[in-house]
Amino acid sequence: MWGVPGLLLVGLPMAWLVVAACGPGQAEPVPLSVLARTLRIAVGAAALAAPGGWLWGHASLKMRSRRSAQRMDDLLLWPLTVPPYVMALAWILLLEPDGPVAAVCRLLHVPAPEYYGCEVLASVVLASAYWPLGALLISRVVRSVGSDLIDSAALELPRTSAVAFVARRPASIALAASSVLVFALAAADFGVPNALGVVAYPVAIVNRFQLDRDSAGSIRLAIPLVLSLLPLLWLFTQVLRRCGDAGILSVDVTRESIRRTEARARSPIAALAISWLMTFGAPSAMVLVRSMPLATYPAVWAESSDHFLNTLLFASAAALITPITAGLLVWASRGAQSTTLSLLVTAPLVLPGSLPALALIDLLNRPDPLGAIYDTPMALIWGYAILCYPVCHHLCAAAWSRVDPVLVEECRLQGGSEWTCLRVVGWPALAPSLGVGALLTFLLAARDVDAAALLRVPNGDTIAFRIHDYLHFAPGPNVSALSVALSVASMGVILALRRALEWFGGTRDDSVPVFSRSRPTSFEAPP
Amino acid sequence: MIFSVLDELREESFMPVRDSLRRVLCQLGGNSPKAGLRIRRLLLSLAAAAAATGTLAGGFPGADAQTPKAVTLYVSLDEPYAKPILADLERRTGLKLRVIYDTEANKSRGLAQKILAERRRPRADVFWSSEVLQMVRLAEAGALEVYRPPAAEDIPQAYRDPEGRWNGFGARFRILVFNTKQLAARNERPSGDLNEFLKPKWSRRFALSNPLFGTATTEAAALSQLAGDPAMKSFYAGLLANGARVVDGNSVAADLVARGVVAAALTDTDDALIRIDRGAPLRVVYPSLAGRGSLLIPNTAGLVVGGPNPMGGRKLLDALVTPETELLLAALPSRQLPLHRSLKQRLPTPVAPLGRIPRAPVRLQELAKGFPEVERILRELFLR
Repeated sequence: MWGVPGLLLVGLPMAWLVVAACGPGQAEPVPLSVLARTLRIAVGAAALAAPGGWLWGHASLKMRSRRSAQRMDDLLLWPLTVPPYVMALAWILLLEPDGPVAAVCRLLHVPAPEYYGCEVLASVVLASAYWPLGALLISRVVRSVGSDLIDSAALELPRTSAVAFVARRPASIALAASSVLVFALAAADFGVPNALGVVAYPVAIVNRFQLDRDSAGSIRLAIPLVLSLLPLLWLFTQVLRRCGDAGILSVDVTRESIRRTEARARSPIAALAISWLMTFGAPSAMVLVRSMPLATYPAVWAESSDHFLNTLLFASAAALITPITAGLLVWASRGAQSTTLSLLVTAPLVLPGSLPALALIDLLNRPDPLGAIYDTPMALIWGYAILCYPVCHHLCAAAWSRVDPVLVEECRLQGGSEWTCLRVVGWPALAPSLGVGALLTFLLAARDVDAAALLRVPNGDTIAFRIHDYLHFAPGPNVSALSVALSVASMGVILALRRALEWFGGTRDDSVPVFSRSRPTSFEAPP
Repeated sequence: MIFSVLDELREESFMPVRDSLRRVLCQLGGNSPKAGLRIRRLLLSLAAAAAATGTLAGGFPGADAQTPKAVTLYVSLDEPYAKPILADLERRTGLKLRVIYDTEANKSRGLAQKILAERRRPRADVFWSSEVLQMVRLAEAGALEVYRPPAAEDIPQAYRDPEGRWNGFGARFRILVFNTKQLAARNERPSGDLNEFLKPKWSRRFALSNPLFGTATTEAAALSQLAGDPAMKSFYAGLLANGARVVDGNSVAADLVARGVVAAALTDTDDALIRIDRGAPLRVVYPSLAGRGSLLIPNTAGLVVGGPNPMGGRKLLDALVTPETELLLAALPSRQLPLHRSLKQRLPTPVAPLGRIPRAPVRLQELAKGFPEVERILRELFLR
């Protein structure tokens, strides 16, 4: 029963999606050309992101120390603080007639590229936004290769070659997994194609819903896209499970096995620096420059302070609910991941964010009692919680996978109740992941536009929604200033996340069970 | 705690329910003597989390939904223009407004459909639409209450519902906007003839917002009323065949012209004028719809049937449909034309020239009659 809140939180809307898709209602199908366009964009994004991930993994292999590798990971975090639609804004600013790209084109006497409706640019922006995710995954996989394997290989090969030899296969798998991840995220992304005026599938679903307000019909429209993504989702859950088993998703940062190699850092640093600057440095600088003069910021604060407050409150509420329910579900299932459960809790990660929002609208737009929360922030917070649930769940599952099941049995044998076992065994194991999950949920909820564009609350618009809507008016300084503010706030959260990782990781040693520092290994029956 | 509540259900009719519930709870709790304790702890934990969440959510600026002074308003006018008006309305009426704005890409249609979808439990008290067609559709669907604000009597009959379900105020023209640099480069002259854009020389150089949303829908319905469905269909099909770009909103259309991506676009006065104020190389031409004048589209406001605060809604409408509001709308960069007769002789300087433009004789109240066929054609052409 501990898992009931988690199942209700995610399972109910996801089940409602299926029910609604089978219900009455009619809607013209989305043209296949839209699906083809979406898949083209996603393939392009995955293809563009893959080299970055591979290079990064290759470079991180050759880092001389764990600290250097950690610094490389830190570099990857910065691009992730910029929401994808802000990245789209940056590219719009770069490509404007008075922007730098147009100036270069004038010098070269070639026509400047046009951003509106440009599929290629959508792929480029999505690759810019998501490649660090793939790179992080690859980097962690290659650094988790067992040192015993490297030692064995080093008997036959020079140390550098041994590391490369042993890491090649897991790195290839991680590259495939990261490509699947980038593909799925790009195919499901609403903000970027919407900002660039590209009618991709997620945009078509939202537009069709706004046109007819037919939740069931709009959900049915998504079936071709969902069917395209489901096999990938299954594949990704399998990879995630393996990564979880290997401790790659664990928040314990001391696990990297490759601590030191004899290699010199001959990694393609220049290529990495260029790709990092192209995908993060230049776009961010452009947005920052276009948000000037500084007087824009007080003006933006005056007109958007309520939106900042809304963002803070709603994202905080989601950050409170989501990890708790995920932790309880993982505890209830003792980390066991059936395929169904795994698909259920991972689905929101790769489905267009509008689909859970549509399910909630269909579920809640009715007389009380469900109707009582329809136009309150609770509906939006629920939407955020669904979208962020996979992150929290997989973090908790990965943490739980490292707990010896004998301990729970021991606790029960000594008369500990379920609650005592949760408190004494579960909590110490899950607490770090819950903390990290809360921060990530806050980060993702604060930047979400998929749910916020549909689950509208009176006086409840968020900063992300404001940026999304203002992008249609004109990319003026106020939009840039809002984007900078949101990105800086995200960076603050990332910094907090990093400190949390250091704190959790630094107080633990691999040689002792994760809970042994704070909790006794024997239990007394409660009175 | 749960069981004590259940024990209180002593009536005979509740016994089977009580026993079933007890069985379910025992099963959920592991059917042990500690089941009640576990359930209570879990419920307490969840209640604490819910309370914390509720506190967080309850602190947001729109949380005071249940106060008698709170009025929920759906607005499809652009937020930057609507916000100062609403602040003035709050000051004048003492009401607390809870507002949902429409998105630029889904103008008016999104909120009108939302009102229709919420009819089982209406959430909005007042709908302020930036155009007229969706309001007429809501009125025909029975979603609007009859209510005539006192100042509405001064509005010409052509711009209000004869039954009093909606009233028009502060209007904008549908216009053509041209990029002057592009025209000069090709030595072209701007034309007010819409059929001009079906010619090959405008191929891929023209933009319009998606006619399934916003004032572009009203324009299509008006064209159908004046020239007939075949002419309307032929016009839009011709534009598409000539490579016209269909974009998300009038603002985007005007922006594409301002940046020189296309040479001309169909849009609204406000979207062009604010860009001209910023120095964009634009020129406005008032096209003649079916050769009978330019299309003037008023803002409209109506009271939603069954809204949570009907008294507050009426009070808000009384303050909204007034010459004061129209003067504020005229003074904003969007320069909307006042409709009250009392203002005809004293139009503010920025909008005075608009008052002299010939208007197409569109019967706004009848726009919804032929709309199903218009929509069918538009969906056939523009559903992407």
